[in-house]
Amino acid sequence: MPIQEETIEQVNLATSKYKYGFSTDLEVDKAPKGLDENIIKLISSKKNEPEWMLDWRLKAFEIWKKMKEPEWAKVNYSKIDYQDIYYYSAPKNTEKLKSLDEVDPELLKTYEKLGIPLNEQKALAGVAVDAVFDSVSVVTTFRKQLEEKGVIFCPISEAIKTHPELIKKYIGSVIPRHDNYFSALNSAVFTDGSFVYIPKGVKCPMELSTYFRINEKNTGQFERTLIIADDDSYVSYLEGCTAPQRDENQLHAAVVELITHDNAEIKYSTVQNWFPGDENGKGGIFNFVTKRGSCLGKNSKISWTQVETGSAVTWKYPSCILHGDNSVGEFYSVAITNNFQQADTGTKMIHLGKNTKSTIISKGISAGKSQNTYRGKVLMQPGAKNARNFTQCDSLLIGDKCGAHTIPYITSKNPSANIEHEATTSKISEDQLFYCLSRGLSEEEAVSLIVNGFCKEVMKELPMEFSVEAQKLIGISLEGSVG
Amino acid sequence: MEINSPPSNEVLDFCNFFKQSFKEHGWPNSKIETWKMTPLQKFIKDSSSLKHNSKYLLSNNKNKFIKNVDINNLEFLNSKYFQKNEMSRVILSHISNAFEILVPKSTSKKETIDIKSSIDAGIWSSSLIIIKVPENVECNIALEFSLSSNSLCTPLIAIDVGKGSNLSFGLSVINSSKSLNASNFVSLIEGDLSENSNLEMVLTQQGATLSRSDININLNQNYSNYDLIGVYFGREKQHQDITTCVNHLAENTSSNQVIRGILDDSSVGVYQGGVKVAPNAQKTDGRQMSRALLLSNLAESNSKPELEIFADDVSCAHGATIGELDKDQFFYLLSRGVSHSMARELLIKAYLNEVVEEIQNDYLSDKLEKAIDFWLSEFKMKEVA
Amino acid sequence: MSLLKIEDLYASIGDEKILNGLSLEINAGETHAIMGPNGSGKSTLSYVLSGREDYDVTKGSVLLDKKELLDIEADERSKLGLFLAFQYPIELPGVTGMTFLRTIINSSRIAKNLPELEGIELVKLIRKKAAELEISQDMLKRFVNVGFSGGEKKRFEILQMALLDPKIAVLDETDSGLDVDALRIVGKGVTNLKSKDRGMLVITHYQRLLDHIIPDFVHIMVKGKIIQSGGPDLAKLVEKEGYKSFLNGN
Repeated sequence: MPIQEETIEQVNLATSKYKYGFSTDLEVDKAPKGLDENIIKLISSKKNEPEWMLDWRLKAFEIWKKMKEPEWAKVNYSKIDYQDIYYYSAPKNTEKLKSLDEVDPELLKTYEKLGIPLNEQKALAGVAVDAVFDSVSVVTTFRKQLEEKGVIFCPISEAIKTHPELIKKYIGSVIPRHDNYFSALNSAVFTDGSFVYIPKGVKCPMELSTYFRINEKNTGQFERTLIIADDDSYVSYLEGCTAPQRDENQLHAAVVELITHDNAEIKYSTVQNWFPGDENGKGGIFNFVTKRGSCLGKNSKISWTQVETGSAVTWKYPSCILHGDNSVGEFYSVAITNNFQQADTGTKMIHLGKNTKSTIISKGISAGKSQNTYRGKVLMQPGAKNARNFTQCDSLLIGDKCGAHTIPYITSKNPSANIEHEATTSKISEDQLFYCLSRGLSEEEAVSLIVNGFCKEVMKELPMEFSVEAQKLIGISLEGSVG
Repeated sequence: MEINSPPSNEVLDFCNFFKQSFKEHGWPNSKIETWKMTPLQKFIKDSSSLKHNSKYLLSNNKNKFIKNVDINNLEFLNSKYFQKNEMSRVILSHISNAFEILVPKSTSKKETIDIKSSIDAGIWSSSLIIIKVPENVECNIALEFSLSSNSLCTPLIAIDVGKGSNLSFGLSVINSSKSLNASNFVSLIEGDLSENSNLEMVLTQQGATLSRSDININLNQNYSNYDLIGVYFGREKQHQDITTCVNHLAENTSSNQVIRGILDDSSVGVYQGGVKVAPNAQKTDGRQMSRALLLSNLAESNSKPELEIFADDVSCAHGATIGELDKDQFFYLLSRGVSHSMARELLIKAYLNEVVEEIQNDYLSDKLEKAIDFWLSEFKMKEVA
Repeated sequence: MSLLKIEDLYASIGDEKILNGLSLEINAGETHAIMGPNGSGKSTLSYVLSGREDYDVTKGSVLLDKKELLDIEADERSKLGLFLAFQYPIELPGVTGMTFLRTIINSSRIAKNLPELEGIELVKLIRKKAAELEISQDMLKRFVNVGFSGGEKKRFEILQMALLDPKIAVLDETDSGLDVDALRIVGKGVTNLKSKDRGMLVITHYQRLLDHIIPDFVHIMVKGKIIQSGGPDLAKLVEKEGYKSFLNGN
């Protein structure tokens, strides 16, 4: 079956509002609730980490204890009790897996249900997957094919042991431990995530993908992703995520660091579909994520594309630091909020090098009683000669109980740099709606169609494997928002 | 004639609360979001050595307009904006002049109430000015503050525009001495608009080492409209800050804020512009356009054009650009034989002229045009030197 | 002695070589046309002649009245008597047509050691020339090229040319964006400006402009140099057969 049809079928299977709301019963290995030095030592020992890694974590914990949870974002949520969270939870018997056959069949079934077949024969052609279940990576597909090209794609817990020199050099190099409250927390307790290294001159032969699943109750997920693209290399990376439908809020505090050297390019795409909470605002994931890329080399490029439909609260600003001359940063975002969801998301483009260029296209859609904020920063430092930025931020409101907000910070310290920022807020026009209805579409179908059109500039940036699913997801996310 | 209206006991009583608060908290610090880009402590170092005095001069025989502050009108100071703003406590605990401009119903739209204030060296002028425009009148008010070295000017202005009225209000900050030494201007302005009323505001910030105008406009009733034309000029180490918030609180209200900045030498420009649309303010039309022109490698521009929208049937937009003179335009002029310096001058003038065109009130547009010419003449002298 | 002498001109933008050894001589009183397919470097030639900064001239010389143009900036070239009618005239928001014309007329008069023109005299001069090109007074009050139609923009270019009275006029794709009526007005305007002291270089893709501005010489430009020269008949040949035969011949 062609990939596209297969994906459509998977999506069609889902008729319920949040089709990933089921949970999997597995025997798990869990650390006690709460956070102290001992828990960090336990996580580190569970992962058989070297001493230096543990020290790095403990230092992060020290930093975190002195920090305060940020309050500047336009989001309201009940205070998180950091001592009431499990920081480590792993399905039993996942260690020392040699092949897929050894993976717990329950787990495989879970991923099948999520539309992510891990069996390489059944897998989406051309996509290698690292599957992270709660605190551990359960399996990474197509590793052999990738190794032949010299591409390293493995759980970060493994890379710490097998490629310590790369980890030591790059971890925390883009997002230091003290960067913010959640990056400090993540640095102390991260349990797994993906590690990617693309060697010089290699164009990664397939899309790399990590699929995150939070399953256990009261468990926080703290994954850490590190992607390094060496000179003249290219990789496209996809990230997906889901969680069971639960009444209580769960915390997801990830850190993603990207590094590109001379002439290298990383394309990072996310379809974020964590459980958003129910129609009454109960439950849902707190998604507090720090993502940042550093274009270290000249002519390098980092492109972020995100489709944010899930989570009760989102706090996320995938950013680019444009060090290298002629380097390029891009941010394409669709953020949809419905019911009681709150999203405060955007990007930072920090221009340091000459002739650096950045583009920001953000589409925010608010429905129900949700609040949707774009928060962005464009900074031209004195060295950013002839740098360019273009920003387009559009918001769409559906219904009169929601809010749409735009908060851009724009600074230039170089006269030859050029910044252009545009923002609009509007609603779906009655004319558009009527036109669609007169052609026989239901109101929900019409809204889905119009919103997809509104997001087109962003959706076309998604890899093909993702775009069909993302389009459907937009419709599903807005269910119940009209009429 | 001179306006000399020391605050009455009632006014002083009212200000007691702010005095207390000033003792506790002092000047606003740069940890506060709206003060992050304008670090006051860098500019205002020792305000306690300054003498308190506010002198205002009124052109021609308009003294019938000026009254002592009516205690009933002190309620304007109870607004959320004045109560919450950190500068209120600074201004209201130091006022030396408090007066009202009561526009009579019979005002002719041709006349302009022209008020000038010179702040001499060693003086801190802190005053409370209430402007009340009754229903169905058209009037023009121009306020000009001229600062000497080592002076401080902190006016607090409350404007109320009655139903069906149009007010054109000009505020300009200039420097009376050539040098721009330790002269600081920090103002707070709140405007309340009733049904079918219009407020056109022309803000020109040219003088003073530090100038900041913090403007809060409430479009309280249907079909009220606010237009702001704000122009700031920066040279040497000047810091120019325009901070605004327009609150759309009723249906069919509109606002348009146009900001132009020009920054030379190591000057810094700040524009923090807000448009807030309340849930019931359907059919709002809110626009902002801010542009900054950097003429030097050391100049810096900061913008934060914010939208906060809680109503769905609205049309809001903002745009912001920062950059240097357009290269294509420059080349076009050169190719017609215009010299580099003249092309620069012509393009700078054009960039500023565009907003002059948008001003409805001739008196205010002439005033701005003069300010532009003055700045350009200084700029040319620098180029020659 | 030729008025304009372009000799072995090479120019590039970034790594891309656009002009590759172009030579051309124009005598006073002559009108030359350069024709060529898209991407042959026609517009680059006009920009290099007028002194736009984005191009690197790697070799060659351009003499106007024996003076080297390549060493001097765009404004100086204009003052020496070079005029470029832009293919895409630039918008100048905030600068009215009158202000602009006054500025450029007086800049050129100062260069020619003539007294500056002010008041009635200046207005009369502008009005007279504008009327010949069917340019309304209203258009002169508007900002330069802002909101102008294609025809208005091109007529305004020719008005500037008439007022500056250049020795050499380069017209870059002056027919683009013009309807039949506008083409006629512009063609007539340019033809009126022909004189025994002036040389003209008309750069165009299509022959149709050359029905209105009859050239004395026609050159075919391909890949940054002139590959064939002839009389007006050459343009007719292009019209009939396209550029294909020239491309193949190369």
